Amino acid sequence: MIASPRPPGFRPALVAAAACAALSAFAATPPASEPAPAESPARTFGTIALFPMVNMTGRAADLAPVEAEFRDAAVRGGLPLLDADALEWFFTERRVRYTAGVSRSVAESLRMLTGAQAVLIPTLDLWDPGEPPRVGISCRLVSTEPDPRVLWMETVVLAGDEHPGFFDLNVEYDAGYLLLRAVDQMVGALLGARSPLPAAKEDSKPPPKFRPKRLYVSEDRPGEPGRPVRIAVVPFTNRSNRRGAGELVLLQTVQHLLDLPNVEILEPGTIRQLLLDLRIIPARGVTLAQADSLLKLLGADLVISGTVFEYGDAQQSWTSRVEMSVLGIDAARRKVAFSAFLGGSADEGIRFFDIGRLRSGVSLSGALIDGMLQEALQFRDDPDRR
Amino acid sequence: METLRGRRTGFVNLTLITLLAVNAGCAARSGADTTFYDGTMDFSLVRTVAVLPFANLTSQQAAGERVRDVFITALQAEGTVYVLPPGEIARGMSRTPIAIPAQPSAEEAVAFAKTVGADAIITGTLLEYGEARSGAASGNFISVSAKVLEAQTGRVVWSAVATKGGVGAGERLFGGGGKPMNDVTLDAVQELIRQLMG
Repeated sequence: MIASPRPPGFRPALVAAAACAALSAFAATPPASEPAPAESPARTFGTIALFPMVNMTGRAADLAPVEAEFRDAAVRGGLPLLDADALEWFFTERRVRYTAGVSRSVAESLRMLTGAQAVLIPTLDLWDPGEPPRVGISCRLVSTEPDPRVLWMETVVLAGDEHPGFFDLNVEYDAGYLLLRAVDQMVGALLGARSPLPAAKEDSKPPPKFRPKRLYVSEDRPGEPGRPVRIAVVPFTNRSNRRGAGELVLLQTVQHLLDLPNVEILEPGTIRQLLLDLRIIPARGVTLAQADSLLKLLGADLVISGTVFEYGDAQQSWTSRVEMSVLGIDAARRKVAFSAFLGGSADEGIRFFDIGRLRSGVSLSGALIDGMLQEALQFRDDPDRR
Repeated sequence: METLRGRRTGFVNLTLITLLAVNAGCAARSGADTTFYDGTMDFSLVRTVAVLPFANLTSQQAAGERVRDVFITALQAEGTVYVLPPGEIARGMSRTPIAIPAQPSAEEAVAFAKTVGADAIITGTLLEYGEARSGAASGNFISVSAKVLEAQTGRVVWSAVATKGGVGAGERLFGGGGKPMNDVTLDAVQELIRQLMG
């Protein structure tokens, strides 16, 4: 199944050089409020621990070959990955069972015992081997600092009929091949990442296609001026029929938050561990007391939560539909910072020959969240906003 | 001459009957809205409101929660009142239980409003939510009612019903499934808020 030719233009030497440069940038990342040092600690940057792939498809999927291909592609590209046996030993030694995130204790012990300075967590978001097939992979890079932060995140979603061509001659029916292309694209994106600093992406995005149906944004900017806004995203309540939609939307929110300027995203695994420690289950939304706890213990200025009502991703339904609400609480002010209701279908705004139609619910929910965040959160330290 | 006049009268009658029939066919689109408004209540004093979970009288699971969420966001987006976050409402209900959230007693409403620090409480009931069919045509429709209870006395000071969607002339003539459910929901919620603010 996993025997893919490299995409055209894939040059190992160049990629290795780019990887070293990218890793240097990651290692050299100072706290966002400080200027970058001239002599970066890039040379001291060690290894990256590639965690097992997380299945978020809501259905059974054989992850082992995908994981193997991911590891091979990363090694080919020159990423200094931690040895798989060493990682396995660490999981056993520290009795780590949850590998979809990184808690503070896991980050600290991983750094101490294995020397890994970052963790790479891949997730399989979509696996639909139907005709035509659709696949989706996400990956995030988390630092193993005492206060783990999400440094980079990317999602690749591919559909067999994305570019059908004349008479459907270009439709791809091999799901395995599509998955390999997704893995290659993901590794390429990782190696091509220049800087994990969110400010680097400022103003580089086109205007969003999807806008929230209703949106409220408070006039007060969360956090203190002159300092990045620290954002904690807690798991979304899932009321849809799609298993794991809450976690999937959480990760998509994290990914699109990274595109915003002046923000610092807390690692979801750290938040999960804190909620477990405090015996908090935000099943019906985050309370102000819970936001207080996240502010005190993690320094979160803004706590984002929400509810997913509909997450249609079935191949048979032809067009995917997603509906959700998102709420942001300004933890210090104990007030709602923003509130939004999002909804849409994958064929929205399509007029001719399906041009521009999104092929999956994963793409649609990502586009909805992106549109909402671009409108609701723009922390540019504008004094007029306060 | 007499015959011609008679024909004209017949034509006018036929036109009137046709117009009435078309009007009756489209009646479900706009919805007959009913509003109660307490003239002695000064709504400008209401700064913070708590929206309790809506009762769901339909067969659609989580529809009440969905409509309530839309209502909260739309009301908040108006910018005239501050709406307490849903988590805070859940916390308040665990401290000051309300037997039937859609129908709190005056005492329950007063105690709850004090717990969460609200000036008014909004309750709601989802009456209809789904797809209406008429022959080959279909369309999504919704019917929702809401009430505002004053925090100090627990009495109802505003009440309204809004119905939107359904099968209209367009669906009958050209087919199609009408507007998507979330658009119909937004229309109904916006209608309620318009009545409340107006």
